[in-house]
Amino acid sequence: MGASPDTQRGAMGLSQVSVRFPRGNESVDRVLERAGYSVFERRVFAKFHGLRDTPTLAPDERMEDLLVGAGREALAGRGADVVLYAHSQVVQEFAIRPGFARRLLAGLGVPRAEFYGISHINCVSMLRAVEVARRYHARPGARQGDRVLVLGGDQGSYDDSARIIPGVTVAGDGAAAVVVHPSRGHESPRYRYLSGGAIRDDRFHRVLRMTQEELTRYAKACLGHVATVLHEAVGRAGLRVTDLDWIMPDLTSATFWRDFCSAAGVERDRVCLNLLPIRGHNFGIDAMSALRHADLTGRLRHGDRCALIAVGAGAYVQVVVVEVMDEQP
Amino acid sequence: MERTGIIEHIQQSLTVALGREVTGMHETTMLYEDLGLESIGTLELLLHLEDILGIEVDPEDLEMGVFHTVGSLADYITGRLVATGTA
Repeated sequence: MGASPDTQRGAMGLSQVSVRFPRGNESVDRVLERAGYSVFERRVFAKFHGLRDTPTLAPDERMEDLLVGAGREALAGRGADVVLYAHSQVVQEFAIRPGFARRLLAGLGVPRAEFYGISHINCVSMLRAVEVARRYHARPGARQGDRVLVLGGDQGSYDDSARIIPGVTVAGDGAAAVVVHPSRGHESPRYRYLSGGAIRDDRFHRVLRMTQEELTRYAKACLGHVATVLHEAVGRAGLRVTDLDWIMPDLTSATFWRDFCSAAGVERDRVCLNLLPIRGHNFGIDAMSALRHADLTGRLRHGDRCALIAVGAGAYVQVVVVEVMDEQP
Repeated sequence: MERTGIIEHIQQSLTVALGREVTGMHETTMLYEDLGLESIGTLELLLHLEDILGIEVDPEDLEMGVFHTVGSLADYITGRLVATGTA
């Protein structure tokens, strides 16, 4: 088990987040029924986990288009020096076709940008990519105008075995993007980066091959790890958990967050779970998606502090704490 | 419904949720520590109690204390039976 070695505070900002989902959904119940889950097990997902729909690409829709759409909107025509593509699935059909990186960069309109994948850390990949981008901006010789596009998203629907975490959640298709840039200089951020934190507990490295007993211990351990990392991350920003206005959660299940709030003494109405029934879990983009939704629905005010939280099988926890800035015209 | 009836229904539901016969439990029996109930099993227990008692469990109302002992769970069920008019 170990914490991230680089979680220091930096003068860095994030753009408005952009998100793309497919036109339609599939019902979680139907996905589980197809996978052989009993009526009883399916009721647990609906009633307690709060999962109803899962975004699913239609045959005429492509995951690459979701990534390009989200990325272009976040870039807002201003380009990027580096593109980080954060993903949970190690092998995805669309991404192993030859020329994926070149096609994606061309679609984003940044053909000369450097392109890197951030993977093998499951659903914390997008928030970890934000940390990687922050480190890029902290490198010797960094320029004020540098921009890193952090792109996240997976196609869970290509195979049911890839989208179901037994007893825990069902994941769907979706993409999110955000530009990470120095908070002073050429552009004003929508969010100011305050701090971050991470942990890995490698006792649970068997991931989808874990036994029921391991899954139970994993669920318990994750509750404690989220509380620990959140506490440490807000502490690095000179804050306490009670100073947070919002928690933008991993949308794995309502059960996890009910248990977390009870155990950690966090008020449930500060955890933005509105998207849970209609979007559910979408690998690494949940917290960004929740942040975007909260912003779009007018929930965020200048100065609000938000903790973005991702939990990944493995087990990984990643937290990014941001402050809402004035909306730029 | 009398208290003993509620306890019997809990015992029957625990047998389903735990996948083994549960006997000899009493009001102070601890669900997690004594019986080995875990999180997923807890949810299955509640669904089974809904089915056999005709109560409606609201996940938002559930506090960890409900599952401390057989007695605390029985208190919660009594409250739900009253709420649904089936007490």
